Amino acid sequence: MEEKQTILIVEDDKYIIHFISMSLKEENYTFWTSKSVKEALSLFYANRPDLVILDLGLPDGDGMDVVRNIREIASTPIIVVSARQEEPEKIRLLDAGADDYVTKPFYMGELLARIRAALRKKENRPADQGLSFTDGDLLVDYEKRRVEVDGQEVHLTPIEYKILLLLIANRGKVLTHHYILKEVWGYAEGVEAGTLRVFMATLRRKIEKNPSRPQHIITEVGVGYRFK
Amino acid sequence: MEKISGRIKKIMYRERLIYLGRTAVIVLAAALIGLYLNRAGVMKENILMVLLIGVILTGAFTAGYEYGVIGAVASVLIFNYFFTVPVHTFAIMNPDDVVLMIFFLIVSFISSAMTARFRRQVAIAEENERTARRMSELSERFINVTGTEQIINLGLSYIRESTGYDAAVRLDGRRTDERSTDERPDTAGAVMFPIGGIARKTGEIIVFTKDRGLGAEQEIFIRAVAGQMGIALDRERIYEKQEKTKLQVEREHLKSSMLRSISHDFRTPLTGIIGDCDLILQRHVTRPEEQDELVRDIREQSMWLTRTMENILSMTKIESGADFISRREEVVEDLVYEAESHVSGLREHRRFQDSMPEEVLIADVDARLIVQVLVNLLDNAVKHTKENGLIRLNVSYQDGRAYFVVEDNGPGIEPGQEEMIFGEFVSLAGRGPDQKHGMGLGLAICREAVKAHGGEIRAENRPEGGARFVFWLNAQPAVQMEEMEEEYGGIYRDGREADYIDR
Repeated sequence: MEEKQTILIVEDDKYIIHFISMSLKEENYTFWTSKSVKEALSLFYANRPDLVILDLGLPDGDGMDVVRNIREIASTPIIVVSARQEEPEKIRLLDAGADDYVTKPFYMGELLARIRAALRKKENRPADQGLSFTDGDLLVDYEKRRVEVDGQEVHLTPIEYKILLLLIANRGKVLTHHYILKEVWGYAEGVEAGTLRVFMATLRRKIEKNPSRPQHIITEVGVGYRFK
Repeated sequence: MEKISGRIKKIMYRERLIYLGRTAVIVLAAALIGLYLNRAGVMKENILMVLLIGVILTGAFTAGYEYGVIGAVASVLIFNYFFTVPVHTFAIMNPDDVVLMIFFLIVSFISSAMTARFRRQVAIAEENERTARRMSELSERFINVTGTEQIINLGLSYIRESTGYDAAVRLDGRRTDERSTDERPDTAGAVMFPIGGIARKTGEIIVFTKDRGLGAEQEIFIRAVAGQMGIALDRERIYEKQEKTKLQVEREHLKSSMLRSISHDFRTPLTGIIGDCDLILQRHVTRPEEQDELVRDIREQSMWLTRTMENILSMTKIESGADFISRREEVVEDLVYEAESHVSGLREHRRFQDSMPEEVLIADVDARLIVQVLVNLLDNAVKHTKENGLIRLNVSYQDGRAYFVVEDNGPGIEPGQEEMIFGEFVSLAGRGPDQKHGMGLGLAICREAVKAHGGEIRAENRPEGGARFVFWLNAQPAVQMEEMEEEYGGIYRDGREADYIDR
């Protein structure tokens, strides 16, 4: 951590800005704040932050526009913070390119954890090209196509393995059901809605020591999955 | 078609034969009596009277004018042959006999015409009476019938009884109510009758006559049925509307009382939060541990507000009707784990155990609502147990249902309150730390949400002490992974044995 990581906060509520910025300062991040879509975009172009925290309801437009505009030029992680909690809304944002979604009210600890995960994903990108992947007690050997938990081999079906690789490649990002279906099956239509969820449930039973407190795969109910 | 008309012709032919037979018998009997009287020396004029009686009787025992005429002509011929001079010929000597026979014929014709008309009128009167009786019975029956379905069925059964035709009813703005359910009869060869309502046409009766046509009376009767049906259906509609309005008023009432109660209940924690903040800002409390305590209070009260808000949101969602519940196939354990992560202090301050069934269960539910139900039940358990108390969540599967059991070793439910606690705004007079916030919306939502999913929830006390909440939802075990892989085009691999690492 030689260089301080930079974050752009886009939010129009001064109380939220206050407590987020205080926490970020505490964690040693550099940050900018903006209260409108225009300001956010110009700050983004000028500073190229490592991560964006984005509120949806802004005075001069929808946060959705910010996501689209940023995605046109960069793959910077975007964490959406919003009071809107309807699943279709979340899915729309995630499919548009947002990485993660936090609903108000949220706890700062949770937001910080997600920020760390999103930044780690950015760092880890090159390392993923390697021959294996380790995360805590989980080991994936790409070459031998072998998965171990706590040193014990686990048999995964081909589809489960494909899903796991997809999640690892996108760690820190919430993948919607639709996205996973399209990536793993090649098409999303015609595959039953519950199918993916069943695969995920069995995959989790196989690689999580305690499925009720998952260490690797987090379920975002109604939206999708995220690799921690 | 031809077969039917042929059969009708045959029936009519047989009837005619019977009447002709009767005519013959009566006329012959009269002739025999005449012959007997003649031998006894009675005058021929009187014998003619006997024959006249025969003709009149013929009119009485047959239907139609023509039999009387046939009888009269036959009688005249018999009279001419047997009783006029020269006997046993059809020749006539005496001009008086000719006059006699002519008058006989005239009297016979008039009398048989009159008898025939009389008979017809009697028949009409009988028919009228029958119709009138049927009509009055019809209207009486329609008064007592309620329910659209029953009204329609009654009308259709009446039509079938009186005309022999099957019929169906099509209500405007509703799907067809077919009498014969298996195939949708084509309306070709059917006659339609409108069902009138007070303001507008409500629908139509379709009578499947198969081109046989309807008699005038049948038509009148069907129209009467249509009229009665229209009135009954209108009555039904008005009644329904009235009920709906009543329900709406009730709901409005509930909503306003809920709003009142909510604002009341929000006032308390907000006062607490503001007060705590003031204390900290004004430096009345200086000891760090005291400050921490105040901040913890603020947090706790804010969390309570958050939870309550979440519950209110769910409540409005359920109350606005089934359309607002977005069901999807969800894996049951996902919901359970999600709920567990939302209950603060569940693992930290209580002994919490959970268990899942072997099979992966899938339920068609609104994920958010069911998570809310579980959160509320677990929250409730945390609230009613002491530090380090026991809380257990157990999910099991049986016969198409997923059973969720949440139990604790707290003080339990007051006997007799097992039903009451699911009511809105009810909260038990317990000694929990949050008890001052009395809005028992949580369990009410549990009941409504479970009910909205077609399940049931109940509360009971465990024999060993503590409360137990059980609810079930429709669910089914997921198809086995290996089968699915084949079905969805995965390459089959050696990993046949399921390798579950834990549990």
